[in-house]
Amino acid sequence: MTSRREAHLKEALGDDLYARVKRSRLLVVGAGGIGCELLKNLVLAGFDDIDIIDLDTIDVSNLNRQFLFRKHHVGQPKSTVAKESVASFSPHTRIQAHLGNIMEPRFACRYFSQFDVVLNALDNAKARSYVNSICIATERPLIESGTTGFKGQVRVIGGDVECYECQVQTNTEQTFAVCTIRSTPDRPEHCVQWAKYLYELMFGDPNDDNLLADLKHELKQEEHSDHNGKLVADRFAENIFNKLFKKDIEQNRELQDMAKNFFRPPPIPLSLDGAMRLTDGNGNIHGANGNASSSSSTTNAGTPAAIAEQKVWSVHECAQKFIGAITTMYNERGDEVGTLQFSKEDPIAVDFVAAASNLRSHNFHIAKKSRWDVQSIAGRIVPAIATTNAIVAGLQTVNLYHVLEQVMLQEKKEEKQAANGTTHTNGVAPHSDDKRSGTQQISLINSKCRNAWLQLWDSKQSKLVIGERLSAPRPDCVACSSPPARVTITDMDWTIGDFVATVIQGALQVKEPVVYFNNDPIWQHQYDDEEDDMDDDNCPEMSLSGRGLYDGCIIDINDLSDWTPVEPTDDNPMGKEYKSFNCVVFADVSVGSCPKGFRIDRPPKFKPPPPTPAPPAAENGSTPTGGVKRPRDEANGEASGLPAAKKGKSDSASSSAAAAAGGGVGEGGESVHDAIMIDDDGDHSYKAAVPAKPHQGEGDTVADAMVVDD
Amino acid sequence: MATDDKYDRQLRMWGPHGQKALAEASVCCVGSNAIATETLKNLVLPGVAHLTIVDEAVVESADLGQNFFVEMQDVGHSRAKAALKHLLELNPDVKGEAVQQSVTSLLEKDEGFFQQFTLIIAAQTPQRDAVALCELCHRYNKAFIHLRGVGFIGTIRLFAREHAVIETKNESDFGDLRLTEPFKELKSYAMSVDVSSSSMDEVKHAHVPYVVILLKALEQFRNNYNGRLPSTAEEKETFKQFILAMRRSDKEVNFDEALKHMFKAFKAYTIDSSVKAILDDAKSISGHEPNNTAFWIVAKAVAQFESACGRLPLSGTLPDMTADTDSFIKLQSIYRQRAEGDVAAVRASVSSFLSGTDGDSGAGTAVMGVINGMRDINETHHHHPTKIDDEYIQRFCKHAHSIALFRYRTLAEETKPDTAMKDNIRESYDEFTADETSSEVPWYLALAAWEVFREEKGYVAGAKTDHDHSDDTLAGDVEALKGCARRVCTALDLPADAVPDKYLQELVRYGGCELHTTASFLGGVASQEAVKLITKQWIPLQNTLIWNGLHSRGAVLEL
Ligand SMILES: [Zn+2]
Repeated sequence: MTSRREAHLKEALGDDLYARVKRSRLLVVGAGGIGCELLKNLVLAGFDDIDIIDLDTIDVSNLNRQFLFRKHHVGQPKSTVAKESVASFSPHTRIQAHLGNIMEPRFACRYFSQFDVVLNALDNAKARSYVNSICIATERPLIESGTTGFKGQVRVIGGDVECYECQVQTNTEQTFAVCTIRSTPDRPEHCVQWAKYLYELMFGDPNDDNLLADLKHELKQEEHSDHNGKLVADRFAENIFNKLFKKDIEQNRELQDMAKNFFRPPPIPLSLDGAMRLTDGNGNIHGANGNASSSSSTTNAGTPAAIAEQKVWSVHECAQKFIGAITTMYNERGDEVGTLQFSKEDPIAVDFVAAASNLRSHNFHIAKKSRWDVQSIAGRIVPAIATTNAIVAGLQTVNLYHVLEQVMLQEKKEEKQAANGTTHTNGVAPHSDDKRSGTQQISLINSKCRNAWLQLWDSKQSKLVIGERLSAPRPDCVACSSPPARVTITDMDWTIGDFVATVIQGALQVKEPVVYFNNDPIWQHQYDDEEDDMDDDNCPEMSLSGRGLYDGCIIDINDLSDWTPVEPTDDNPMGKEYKSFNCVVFADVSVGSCPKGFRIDRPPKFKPPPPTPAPPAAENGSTPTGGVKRPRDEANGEASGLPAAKKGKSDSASSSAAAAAGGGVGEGGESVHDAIMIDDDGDHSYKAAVPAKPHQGEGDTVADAMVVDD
Repeated sequence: MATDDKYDRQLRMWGPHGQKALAEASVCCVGSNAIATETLKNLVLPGVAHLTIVDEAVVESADLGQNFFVEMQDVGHSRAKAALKHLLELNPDVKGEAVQQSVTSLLEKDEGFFQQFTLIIAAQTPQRDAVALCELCHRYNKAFIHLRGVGFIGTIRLFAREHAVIETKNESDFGDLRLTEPFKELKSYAMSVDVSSSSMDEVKHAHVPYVVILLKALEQFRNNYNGRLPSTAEEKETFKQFILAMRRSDKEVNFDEALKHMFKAFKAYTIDSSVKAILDDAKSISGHEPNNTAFWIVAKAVAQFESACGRLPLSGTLPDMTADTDSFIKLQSIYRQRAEGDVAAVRASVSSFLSGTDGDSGAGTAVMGVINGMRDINETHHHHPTKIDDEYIQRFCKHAHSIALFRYRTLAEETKPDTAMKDNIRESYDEFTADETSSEVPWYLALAAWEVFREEKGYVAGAKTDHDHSDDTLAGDVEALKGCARRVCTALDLPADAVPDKYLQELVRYGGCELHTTASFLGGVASQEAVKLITKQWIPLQNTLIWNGLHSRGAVLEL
């Protein structure tokens, strides 16, 4: 549709960029607060071909900001409702909605390769990290985003600039020592985490990360059944109560006495009968400095429900809620028991965790929290509002235009090379689905893209949004310093034996390979002197697809013949760090025309050797130090949401290069379209203040390194 | 349960009282273009009470490319009506009205129309009308936001004659523990804890709250130093030794906390000068803004409290700290009771002001006069003294040490050469000449010139007009715009060529086109500021944001 409706857009972008926009394919990961805004922006930014993925369904608490959803949509998938809402506005746009987890195999490298640019609108560090890795493997530029409260940020990733992991904080989730959770809690957060583990233990399928996993067996012994063998929920609940809050605490107390630990007061065992007598509940709001929690005597403001939730339950109420949640779960939702995961939107789950955590707090002399606060802590709820999401999605869209300008430059360069007779590896054209050949990575470092920080403004700041030039990746980044090799074979029917012999040992020259897929070894090199049947799990005759490999999967290849010595550990008694690299395996029948029926699209690059003690940071603030960047108030020890803008970081890494990459208005040179947007080329450092640390004291816990909006 | 509440997430930001303010706010938006609808969308979602859209425009097909809240079938119909309809679909709690008139004619015929609103937003309103609206907002004491977006560039300008904020939510707020001036109950409690007694067991000793430790160390220090606070490095070291002398083991976390918070015992109690200025102002209460009357009455009561006691009401909150339950609760109740006592004193003053029985001759009557002349403070509709929510008094006292007041300059003051903020502009311009990336002031100047161009020529620089859109015309517009820029700069005592040509060329190239991307960003920021103005929480921008979407930079300048 290049009708009058987009005349303005064409005018502002110029003909070339407008045309490139029109033939771009975009992937939006997440259809939540930012995702809704982004989808709307992209459609109105001229994009006609967009995929959107989300695994969630719509919840009432989304409606204050996720404007593509209405009350009657509650319970429906976000991705498809978002698509329908936008389609009714803009029927000519091709939007494909997918209900699912971005980490499923069907969305792996092959899928990502179709897109020009990937835009994240995610709410968790794990998915962000995953998308980052796939974008590196497939050389897709990625535009990251996140908000918390009034603050937000956008980062541009890809090619020759920092990836998500380059800047991510080492400790992405708030973690507590095992013994703190299990036996020596001293903060409400510890008890909440314990209660979440307990919830999974009782109603879900706990994995190995669950610090209480060994308790499952003990809890099972408390089950009480009637003569028909049916579980009697309230009796079971009472038994559990007395075990967790009385017997276990008595044991804990004895252990503490034995250890002569005088620095903590002995915990108080609490029986169910005892709890029922504790009704006074000293309704103090310990440490509840948040604005919402503070209006304790309000009677006429806002929503009464919210206020009721800010009351701290008495021990008696906690006990009632605890028993109530267990019986309700078994009696009314018995079919779900064993499959549940904690959800901050599930009222019974929140009741259970609030009650259990507060009972444990009582055991350990820790101040109790309101249900409202527990929900915030347990659900890692970040206050999310429409305004910030809109700003951040706007920043993403601006950067998307700039990324596409760089893509155009790259394409021009490749065209020129093609015209000069430079051919692709093995003389075979790249896969037809692949938007770019990937033989040369996109250059963003001198582009007009900016990592942007939206700050909470106060009178001392001169900037609301800081736009910072992109910087080179950390040389030792685990994610981007060694992008996966890329191999294309005809199909996944190749046998493992052939694949290893021809591709891995042959073309990739890995002499003694050990190959992993999803952390499982699928091939272990056999030495001639080893006894034939011993330890030989290799199945050379099995097909790759038979071992679960699929088109666009990533395998991990280690070479036993080449290693560096490291400090020996229990897991690695030999103290050998083998050289290794990742490799994407694509299937494409067209490579059958290659001499050997496969093609190496990108040669391997070994992962960096294990870290040696960090060298002192470079003195020049404008060179990447590889250090983890944190807000200046790090000393306060608060969980911080946003990596800080780098102080003193130049907005103009190299002015001449910048000019060459972008060109100013009216300048010639390498300009890619007739109306290039203005580019400044100052070369001084920002005087900008480092953004202040994220908002605190409102019960919000920002656990992810990037901020989130669910 | 929380999940029933679609406002759950935002309640965690601005609380029930903030939500109440939103749910009572009536917003008027002049314009139904993309910037207008993007702003309003973010106010409808969190639930303002009422929305009025003023625009005479009809929907054209060009709108469909940038405005998400008009559809194909709306083409040819009132844009205000279409936009309103689609916006109200977002939230059934919000009511609205569309007025199909131009703001120019409304300003001429019925300027009283604007009196009914809490906040007035002018989106893409030409300078002359925007200045007139701002004057009106000054007269009627309404909050005002002016929005402008051209291509990738935009500005957001805020105005409020007087904007009082209790909850500034300053992140570096240390709280108020009164360590250097402990009140009687606090001091006697601290002294009653005998840290050096051998009868205190290990557990108890490791759980003495750090507040008590600091109070004891400070008492000891003062006894040795004529009641002074530690000030030199040497004295601070001595103070530290007093703390360490009480410690039994380096495993005692509470003593670590005491050392960490030691600096709080070095700073004498002070009242921030800006808070002091507000209290001084409050003493001469008559003549203050009607919609801030509750603020001024409580401020006056707090001022009276401060005159009598030499300090502000205690905030009463105690941060988390290592302590056994008994000590913590004891300490907490000491602070809380004192805070409640302070609130009671302030409350009593407020009541006496309201009933006109305070001893301060004249002041009570003055308050009465103000109150009688106003439309509403707290749900009072009659001409007798009103009541101020007790919750409001409590909140005021709790945050008394960080209240803030902002008086914005009008657009007329900004644009008249004799009242323009020449110093600020000059300073920002000097930054620009030193480093192009450090200041966005050329964009501000370029847009000012762009407004002059529009005013004088009757069309937007670079816009496609009836005549041919040839390169000659564009070049002519650039030249004319350069002329405007020279005049703007000269009037501000800047070099005539302060705005580089490329900025002006870029604006001409846009031809006045509106981009959704820019609208989305500006709408996000504008609605965020609107939330601050309506809820009276956080510090709103002062007073102009200059948005450079080409380089993702947003600078704030007071103009
Ligand atoms: Zn990296």
